Amino acid sequence: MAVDGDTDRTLSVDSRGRLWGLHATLFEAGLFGATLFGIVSLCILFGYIAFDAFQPLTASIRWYLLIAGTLILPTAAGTLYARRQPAVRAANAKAFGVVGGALVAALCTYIVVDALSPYDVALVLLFGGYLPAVFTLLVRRTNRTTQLGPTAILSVGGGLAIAHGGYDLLRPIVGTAAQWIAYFAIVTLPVAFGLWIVGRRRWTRQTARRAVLAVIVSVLLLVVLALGLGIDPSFWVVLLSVGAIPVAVVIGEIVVLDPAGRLGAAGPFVLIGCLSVFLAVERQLGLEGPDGYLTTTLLLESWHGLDASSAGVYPQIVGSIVIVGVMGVLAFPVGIGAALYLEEYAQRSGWRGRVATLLEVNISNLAGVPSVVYGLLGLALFRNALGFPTGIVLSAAGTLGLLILPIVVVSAQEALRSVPDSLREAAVGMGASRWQTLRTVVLPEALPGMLTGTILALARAIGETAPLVIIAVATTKYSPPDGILSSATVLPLQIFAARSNVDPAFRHGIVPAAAVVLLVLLLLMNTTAIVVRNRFDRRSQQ
Amino acid sequence: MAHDRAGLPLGVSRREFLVASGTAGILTLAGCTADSNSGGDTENGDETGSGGSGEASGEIRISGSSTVYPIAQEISRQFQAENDAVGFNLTRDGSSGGFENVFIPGDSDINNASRPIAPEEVEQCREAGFEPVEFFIAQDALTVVVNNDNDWAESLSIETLKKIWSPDSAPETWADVNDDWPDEPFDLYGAATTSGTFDYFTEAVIGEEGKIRDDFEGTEEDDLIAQGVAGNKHAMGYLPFAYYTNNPDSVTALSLSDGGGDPVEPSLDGAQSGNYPLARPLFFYANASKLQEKSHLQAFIKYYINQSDESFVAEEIGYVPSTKAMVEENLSNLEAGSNGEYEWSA
Repeated sequence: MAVDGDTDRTLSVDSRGRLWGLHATLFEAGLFGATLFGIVSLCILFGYIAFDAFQPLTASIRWYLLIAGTLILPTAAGTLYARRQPAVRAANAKAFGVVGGALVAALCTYIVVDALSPYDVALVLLFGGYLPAVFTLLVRRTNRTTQLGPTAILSVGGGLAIAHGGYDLLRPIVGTAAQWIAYFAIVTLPVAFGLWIVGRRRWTRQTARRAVLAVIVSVLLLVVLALGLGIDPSFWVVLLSVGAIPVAVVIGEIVVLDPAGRLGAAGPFVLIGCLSVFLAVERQLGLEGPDGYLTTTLLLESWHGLDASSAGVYPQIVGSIVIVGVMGVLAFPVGIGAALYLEEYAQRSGWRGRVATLLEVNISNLAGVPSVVYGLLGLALFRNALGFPTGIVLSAAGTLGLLILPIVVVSAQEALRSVPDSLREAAVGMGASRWQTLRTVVLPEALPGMLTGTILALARAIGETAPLVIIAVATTKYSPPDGILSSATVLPLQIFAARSNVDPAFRHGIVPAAAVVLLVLLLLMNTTAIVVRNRFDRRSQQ
Repeated sequence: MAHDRAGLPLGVSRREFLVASGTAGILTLAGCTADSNSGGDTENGDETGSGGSGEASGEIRISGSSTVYPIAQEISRQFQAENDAVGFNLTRDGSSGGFENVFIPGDSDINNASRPIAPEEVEQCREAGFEPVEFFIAQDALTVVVNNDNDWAESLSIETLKKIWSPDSAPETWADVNDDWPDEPFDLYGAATTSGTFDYFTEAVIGEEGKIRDDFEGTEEDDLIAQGVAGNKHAMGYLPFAYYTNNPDSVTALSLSDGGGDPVEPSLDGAQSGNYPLARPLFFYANASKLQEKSHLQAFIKYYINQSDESFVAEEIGYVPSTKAMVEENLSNLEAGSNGEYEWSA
């Protein structure tokens, strides 16, 4: 009996244990399902969008074979090889990053400056940038103890005031210069200056000086060449200065300093080579590629409401970039300032402490306020209170800036909190003032986190539609904005409007293609955020 | 000494920090001021804009009806292709939404409307200090659509339509209207209340503007109406004819009869001749004081009027183009408006 009873108990425990095991397995499966659910449904949606945008079924088999042979196979082989060699892989990633980043930066710079008029930008840069910088350096040379911060700020302000006041007089004078000179001043000089700063730290002073000289000479040579061939050199000046020079510097460093990874640096150039081989063969054989809607027409032309094959969203893309750029410029300093105050200066006790707590709670809550409400705020503030015309870049950027401000503040606070207190204490212990501690210890540590948070907030804002509808931003425009007081339109609004076009080719072709463009813009910004974070993280660990 | 050489994790000296942040600030401000200048000029819309030539230059802001939007979009595109210096800014707000939020406050130069302006709106315009100048540019055949599987209704009289949509009768099922029809509930789709299409439909069918049963789905998007109707066998909705002709497979249009006459299929001819009961006029209204100020606005409206009787309005956009008489009338309105002599009358 006793034995029987024993086996009974063992059996019952066993089955209960098995049941519990089943529970655990089911629970795990449920969690896995929940994880998959969102991702899989998003993937299906993106699949649909991509299918509509690219129309892959319209291409011939031979076209696919060609693309596999010339593009996919070499890339796959390169990736496989690089994965086995850590040094090559690191160099490869770095090379791709700099080539891609520099190309995007060059295109964005050219697009934005071209829309705003290079002469205006050059004029403002001259009076608000170069002359104050020279002035500040002169002051510094004559008197090393002068407060340089206030001098710099005042001279910039003064320069801008002169530029603004004397615009009607100065603009025609600047306008007499060739356009490439304006571009030279806008991009080449800052790039040369940046190279000098970086080069002086990484190499010797002499090498840096030579590099700067090489940059200026090469750009001038390019100009001479282009003028000789009868081409307008403006775009090529930007491409060389912003696109090619950073690539040359980084690739050059890899080649010289990193013999093990040297091969990886060839990655992007091999890809570009493969791409040109592919394009040449495609044209030679006359192969039919997919007849999709994501074409150069879509990227470079302006809107056409009747014919889907000639509709383009160039003004909308530029509008999005300009609005998001101005928005970042408005929101970043304010957001970082608020975060610095709350984290570093605000008192923790007394009535001022209570005010700070109240502010902090409110800011956290503001981050969740629906965007439509911010649209109403923008309408009330910019249209009704300040009397701006509706739909201009400044009010759109201001409204979106208010929208992302809480996100910027909160992420900057997080970044500041992640700086260990021991660093602050050490700085204070060595006699640094609060401002010195902040500037030399805390800010450099927290900056990558702040930048990452801000870029992610910008990426959120680029897709916003509702607040812009409320403040009556244009749906359709045929030219990009030419200033912050001119009206602009953004990509999501045009996507929204094209949704209701009577022609199905718009709803099922142009809308997905434009959505892909928007997604690419967004992914680029997210990639930038990740690159910035990783790069600074590595640096501060060194 | 300790000052200048403060050791930093990033290896940034004080000077470099200053220079870098200064440059960043400068670039920032650069963007701002450059623009305030050039933008300021464009804003006034006068001849000294950054393009600065004697030709038409400046900005034209068009708001209002999403029904008229395709015409405005196409003609502004053509005009812009010929006049680089004129910038356009188009929004779709619905006729009423455009009048109320954008046109009457004086933000837009032109408001599209798929119904005539209401006397109260004219009053509000006058209070705001300008006269709205009326331009009647095209016609549309408002199309009543049902599901493709609907095999019981082929034509309706306006009276039946009124019975279906009126809040006084508000039949629940098709059988409530006609015993031969299935005993299934209605699923109704229509224009949103900010839309001129809504105002026109309620006025023309029910007899009183804004009066309608409240259990229908209202939207500014024609596509959603078509999708809604295509998704339910017992659904009904109404659409601009242009949408229907471009998407004839998704839904089926009903012929309509009025006052015991023969049912007429929706068509541009029917709308033009006036046989089709739901032929509606499409307008745009210009702000008279802006018309007097801006020569480029006058040039654009003149171009608009002269293009509105071209065949592409019917063939590519799907509306009834202006007649010669309408063009003449519009041109005389334009001239009166430009001289400040125009006065709106119902």
